[in-house]
Amino acid sequence: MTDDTRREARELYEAGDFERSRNASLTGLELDANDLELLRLAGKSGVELDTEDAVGMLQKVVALNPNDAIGWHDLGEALAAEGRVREATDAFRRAVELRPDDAAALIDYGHSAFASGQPAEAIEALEDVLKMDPSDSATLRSLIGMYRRASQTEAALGAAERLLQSDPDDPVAALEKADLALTLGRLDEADGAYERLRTVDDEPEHDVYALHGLIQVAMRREDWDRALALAEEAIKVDTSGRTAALLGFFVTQARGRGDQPGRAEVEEALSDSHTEHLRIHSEEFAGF
Amino acid sequence: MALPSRTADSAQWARCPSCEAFIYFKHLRRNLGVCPECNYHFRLRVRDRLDQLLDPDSFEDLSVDIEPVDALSFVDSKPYPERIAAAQRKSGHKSGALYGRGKIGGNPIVIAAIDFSFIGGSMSGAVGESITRAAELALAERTPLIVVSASGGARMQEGCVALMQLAKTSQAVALLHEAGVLFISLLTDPTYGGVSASYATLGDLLVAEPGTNIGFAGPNVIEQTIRQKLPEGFQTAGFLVEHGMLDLVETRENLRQSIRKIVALHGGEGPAAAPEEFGEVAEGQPLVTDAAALPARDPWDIVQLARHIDRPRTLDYIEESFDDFIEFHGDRLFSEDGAIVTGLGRIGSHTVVVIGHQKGHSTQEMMDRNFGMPNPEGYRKGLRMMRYAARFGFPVVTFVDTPGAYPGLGAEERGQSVAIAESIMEMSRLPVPTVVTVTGEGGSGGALAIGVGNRVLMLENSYYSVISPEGCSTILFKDAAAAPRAAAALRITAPDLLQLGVMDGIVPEPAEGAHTDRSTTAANVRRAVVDSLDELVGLAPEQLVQERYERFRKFGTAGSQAVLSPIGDS
Repeated sequence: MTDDTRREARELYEAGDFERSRNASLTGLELDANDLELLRLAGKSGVELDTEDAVGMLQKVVALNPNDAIGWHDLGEALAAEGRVREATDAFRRAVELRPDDAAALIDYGHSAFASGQPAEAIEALEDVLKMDPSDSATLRSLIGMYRRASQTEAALGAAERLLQSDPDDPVAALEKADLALTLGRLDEADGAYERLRTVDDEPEHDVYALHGLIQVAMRREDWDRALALAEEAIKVDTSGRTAALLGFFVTQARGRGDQPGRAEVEEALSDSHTEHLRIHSEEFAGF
Repeated sequence: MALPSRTADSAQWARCPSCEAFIYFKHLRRNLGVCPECNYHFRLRVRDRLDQLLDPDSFEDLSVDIEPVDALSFVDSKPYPERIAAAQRKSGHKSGALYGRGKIGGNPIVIAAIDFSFIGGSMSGAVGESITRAAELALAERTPLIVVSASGGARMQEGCVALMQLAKTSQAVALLHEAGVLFISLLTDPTYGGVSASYATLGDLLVAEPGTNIGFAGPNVIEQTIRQKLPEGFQTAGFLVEHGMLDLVETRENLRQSIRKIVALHGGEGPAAAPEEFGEVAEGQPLVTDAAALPARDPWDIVQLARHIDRPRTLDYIEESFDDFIEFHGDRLFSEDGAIVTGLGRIGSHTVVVIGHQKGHSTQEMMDRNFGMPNPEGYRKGLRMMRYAARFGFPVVTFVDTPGAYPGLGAEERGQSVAIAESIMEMSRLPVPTVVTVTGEGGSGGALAIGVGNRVLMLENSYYSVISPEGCSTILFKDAAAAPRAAAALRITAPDLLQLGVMDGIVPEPAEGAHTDRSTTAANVRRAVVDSLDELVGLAPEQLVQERYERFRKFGTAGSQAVLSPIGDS
């Protein structure tokens, strides 16, 4: 009877029928309240259905079997789904301690640790994931953000380079690399990455963002002829008119005449352009 | 919800584009795509949006045969058909919008939604087709239409064919408007250009989520054109509602409930409150129609009572006497004006449009509401809601409590006189029952602008006057201190106005004034309004208009105008 119930609940869960899987599990639990698989399936179905008892079911799983790494991982997911990030981090940590080579648990541990204010642990966990799968793009993207937030610009650039290696056509990788290289004063690398961005980001009207990046590089080099040439090129594709407002500055720098906004204003406008571009792509990756 | 299930990788964690926090995907999903750290509203995929708004499994997709047409054989860096194919792969939809039937709170609706992930939600022939077919279906079935918009504007790759969608969709919406079929436009982030400048801002109601960016031209274009830095929050939903362009800004959490309530008020199933709750309200005293039955009170004392800071205001009556009230903002022209509140609600068994002056109970509130003195935009908001009432056949219930229309420079520049005049005229011709209650101060034209009713009532200790007693005493008595004398001479109190025929009935107040027992006063107001509506709802529209015409026609006509005895004679 319980074997049949377990199989039924498992098959229903795997088929995505969480409601019936949960009902089958609860029916089975009436016969054996400590059945680990049924508790797990009831809890995991509950997570999908947003039921209040999901965490309790999965807590019972790890209480009955404290060395169940998957149980701890499941519990972490249930807690994270409720926004209880600190408790989730503890559960994920326990899962990782029991199974250090479980990439999925490491990924969840890393992100929840970062969300609960433990950046060093978070970064270490995600780097461990990348040792197992150096081409995990999503983890590399997260890592760039974590290094940035931790003010580890050099490491963030390294992660961006790894992301670009694993996915040379990823516009976010090129954008991140370019911006980080610019921040570190590695102008040749920044220049190359912005040029790369022009080829990989084929969204209409996005060319202007890469051109703004190239202008920033030229400004750092004080190569005013190039900055002016790039600005003139950007004007042609800039439907917002933002570049036109900056042109006077470059004309003045390159030709010594003309009206101009201040350098700080120009840099701010170009930086805003970068932020806007990154945000557009971030929203895509956010999954909504 | 049908958000995609995720594999065990970093994509289980979303990163907020606003505050950069990492959020567990399932937590974000439970939070309806709102960042728990900073309240940023993530853009939703169209299917997720429909799942959030509609009853489970109620959506019937009717847009499966709609596909974009490359009418121009357009090529930029790549041929347009390649862009379409890429967008179709990315979005999983054939075109940039879906439409079909659905239900919200059990009420049938027609819904269309633009998918922003499909070439930036741009308005194409196919998008216009979905919106238009949705409007036509709503018209044919006389079912409320909800359109969810998110768009950067018209799709360049379709040239003038895209531009023509503005006309195609707008004319379809116009038919709904003429037929009195409800159209709720939900503007989501971002809504710009050809979409905002067509059907999307033509809804009977315009609703948006907090932080949504809405405009015609983008902020960068505007900044470069005017060479000025734009203010913080420019073109956000908050900015738009302040400028009178939106009816309602609602959080994602409350959006479904609010739309459900609106649809239910428009004749759908199930009020938000249980019908049995209607019976729990105190009965209230009947109207007084005999002036002699009213207690004698010095007019100047009545003026003080009418102005008492604790006297119930329109929003107090709404809270105490109405069910399911939902407030709508804006004149759709210039600004929101808090000195007039408008909205839709139920009183007794009647769904009504409510329009009322609003003051406040503290200095700050009074300042926020401009002491109940509306600007033209307040009257134009009321005017908009009067037309709304006429379109849907809802009675209009107004509450008058103003020292007068705001006498300001801007008010004159924006046509205060015109706004009041148009409001008076519009109200006089409304083909629906209109019930007016003067609850405090009835200050001249600023009061009458929302005072042209089939039934005009006043609270026992309110007053209604062509000018304030202070103004009259200064002008005619040449002495500002003679205001009490002017108050008496102007015959501004309930007994006199009842005899003059300006009032049809007087709502009794507690002995020491309405402010001493708000609930009892509200119960009396409720009874007066409900009884009046019960009398009027059976009349045909032309009878209502004619009766109202005759009511106001008789004032000042010798032979039909009542004349009061000199003061002291009675």
